[in-house]
Amino acid sequence: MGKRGANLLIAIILLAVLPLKANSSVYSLFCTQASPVVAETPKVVLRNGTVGTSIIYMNETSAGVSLSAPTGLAYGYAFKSSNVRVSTNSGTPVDDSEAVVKISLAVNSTVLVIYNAGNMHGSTEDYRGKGCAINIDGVDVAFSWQSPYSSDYANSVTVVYATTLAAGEHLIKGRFFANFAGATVGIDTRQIVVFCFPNIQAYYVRSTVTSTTTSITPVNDPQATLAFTLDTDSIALIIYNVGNMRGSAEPARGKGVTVNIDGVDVAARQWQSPYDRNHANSVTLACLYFLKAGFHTVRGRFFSNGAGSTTINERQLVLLNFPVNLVQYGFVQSAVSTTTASQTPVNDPQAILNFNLTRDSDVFAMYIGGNAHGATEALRGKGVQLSIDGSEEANSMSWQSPYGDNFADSVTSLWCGPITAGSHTVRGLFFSNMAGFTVTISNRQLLVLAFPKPANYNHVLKIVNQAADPWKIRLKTFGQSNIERLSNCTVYLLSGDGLSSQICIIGGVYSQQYGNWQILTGLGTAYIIVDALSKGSGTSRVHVYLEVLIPETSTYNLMAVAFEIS
Amino acid sequence: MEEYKRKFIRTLILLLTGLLIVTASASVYNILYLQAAPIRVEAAKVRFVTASDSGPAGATIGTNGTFASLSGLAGWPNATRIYEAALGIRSYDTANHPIELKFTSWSGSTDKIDYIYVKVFDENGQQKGSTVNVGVEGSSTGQVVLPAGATWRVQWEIKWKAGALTTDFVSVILQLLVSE
Repeated sequence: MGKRGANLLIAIILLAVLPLKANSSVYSLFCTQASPVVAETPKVVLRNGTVGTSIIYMNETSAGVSLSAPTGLAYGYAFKSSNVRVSTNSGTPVDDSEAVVKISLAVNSTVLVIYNAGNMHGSTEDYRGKGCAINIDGVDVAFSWQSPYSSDYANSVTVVYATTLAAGEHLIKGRFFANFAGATVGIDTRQIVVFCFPNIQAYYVRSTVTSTTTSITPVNDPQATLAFTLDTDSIALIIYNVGNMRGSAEPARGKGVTVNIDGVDVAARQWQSPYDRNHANSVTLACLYFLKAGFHTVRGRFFSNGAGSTTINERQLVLLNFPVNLVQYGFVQSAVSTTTASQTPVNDPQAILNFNLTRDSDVFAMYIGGNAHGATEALRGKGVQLSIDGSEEANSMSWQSPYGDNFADSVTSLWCGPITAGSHTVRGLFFSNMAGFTVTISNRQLLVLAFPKPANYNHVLKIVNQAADPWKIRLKTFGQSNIERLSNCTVYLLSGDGLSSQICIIGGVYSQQYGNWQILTGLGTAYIIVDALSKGSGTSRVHVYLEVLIPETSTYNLMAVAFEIS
Repeated sequence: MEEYKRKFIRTLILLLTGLLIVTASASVYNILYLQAAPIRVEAAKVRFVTASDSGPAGATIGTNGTFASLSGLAGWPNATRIYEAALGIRSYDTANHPIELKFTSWSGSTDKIDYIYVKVFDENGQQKGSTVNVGVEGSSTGQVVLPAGATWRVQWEIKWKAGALTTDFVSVILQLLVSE
């Protein structure tokens, strides 16, 4: 055998060994033993709550809860009104410290902001008036401007803005500024309201493209058209707000506005006049209108009150549609004139809404009262205010003065708040800014939107710690069916740490599937609270675990709780 | 002479038969020598180690990390008790090792157990292999490769049936096979 033969032999041997090595089973065998694994008495147990129907199963370690969810719309709101005076001589927007609102959105939502701020007759106000802005997360997003009869006369500005904001926290401010830098302007009373709706059809436009007209009958504002298709019969909240800044062409008689739906002017008009020609001037109009499902076109329209061209430098046209079965509402508008010389608020007899709320609700009310050019209007102007069940909402007060006697003058008032189920009356009130001088409301809009609150079940279950040692607890979902019908369902834990949102369904989808850990103190008790609101009939089920954790470990118990929401 | 011949033939047949038997029963073999030396004790390349829930689980790691005892496992009837990290399995080697955690036996009040699941997770929370269903013959994670230097956690999930009493208990034995 030569050298070649030897190499061949080695190669054959190596090839033969390879599968032997691959198939080798060389391993070590370790053993782990768990003994004893015991069944122990539950240290944390579930007990019946005081509302809803709950069943506690054997060993008190699982439970079922049945409750019902009334129909309603998912919404959130923040409202602030104040009569603390602020002033500035800045020509650029500064914060109105009394109009700062923080909101926290669980999901992306349509957000409507209305900021209404004014000074009363006699307060320091430069004759060129003021501007107001809405600021969202540090950005000024909408403006409007107004001037009074003269220095220190009543002057108010309304700004409206709608947008979609992402889930999370947002800071919304009302801001104001002098129309002439260095001159002082002020705010005596303001209202700022922020509404959030995660599941509505909303359309809006804000444009700073200038429009002008000399027409004394309404013409389309080319920048204020919304064309859309509604999925369902809806109540539409329409707000059209227009303004021109100082220096733009504006007649002393000012301008007027209306709203047109599908080719018909549906809104009673509103009007306003400025300090003088080419000074700041703005008008606001709001209405509620029933729209059937299908295609619609909504337009903002404007006109000159005469004697010259009127200008819109910025407008906001907002249209929010609420399914008719999910909100309650009332709306009245009329063109019947009424007057007063009283300096204390009196009823506008045409501005009254009587309604019966089927559920406790959060209510938005808006009243706009104005007079056309030529109606009796003292040059000091008028104020308006809202009355809820006979209680005058002082912080809803607002004031405005016209160019001069019998010139156009309109004022806007806002209010938001909770109202219990039952019969209620909302009224628009008005008054003269100087006793003995007659003012007129020839057109008005009074609207009320009521958003039923979720049913509040406080509490459906108790969580009782039978041990001296503390635990951490939280809720976490592990199954569900038909939650699409839930407008808003939030499950809370109430413990020594306070109230903690644990599970949240908004608009039929989860926005939160588990919560932060809460402390369950030794021998302590925590509570499960549920808020529920549905879009319609049916039954939804949400299966959750109550997780009971040994602090500082990852050892925990899962206790099943089934919520049946009809 | 004839008788002598007969005796000779008989004797010959007997001898041949004996030779045949001797031949058939013969142990003809070669002796070879196999030497195994030294057979050493070496440090385990993969070991059981304690983890964040070893305290509540009552974990005791045996000498050399090749045995682990869990004496504190418990559960509430009709609720699931989870020990996310009752034990750890750690590689002390610079090479990867296939491992397999396998159900071996159990005893005690096994009829009162709804389930006991044992799962292995890597550092990223990714379950490795299948769930070991205690009580099911042959149930195991299957062979999974433990990377060099890695530490995985062993999670126990225990659910007693609603009718379990505080006198009920079970004992469970699992094997960990560590391949070279």
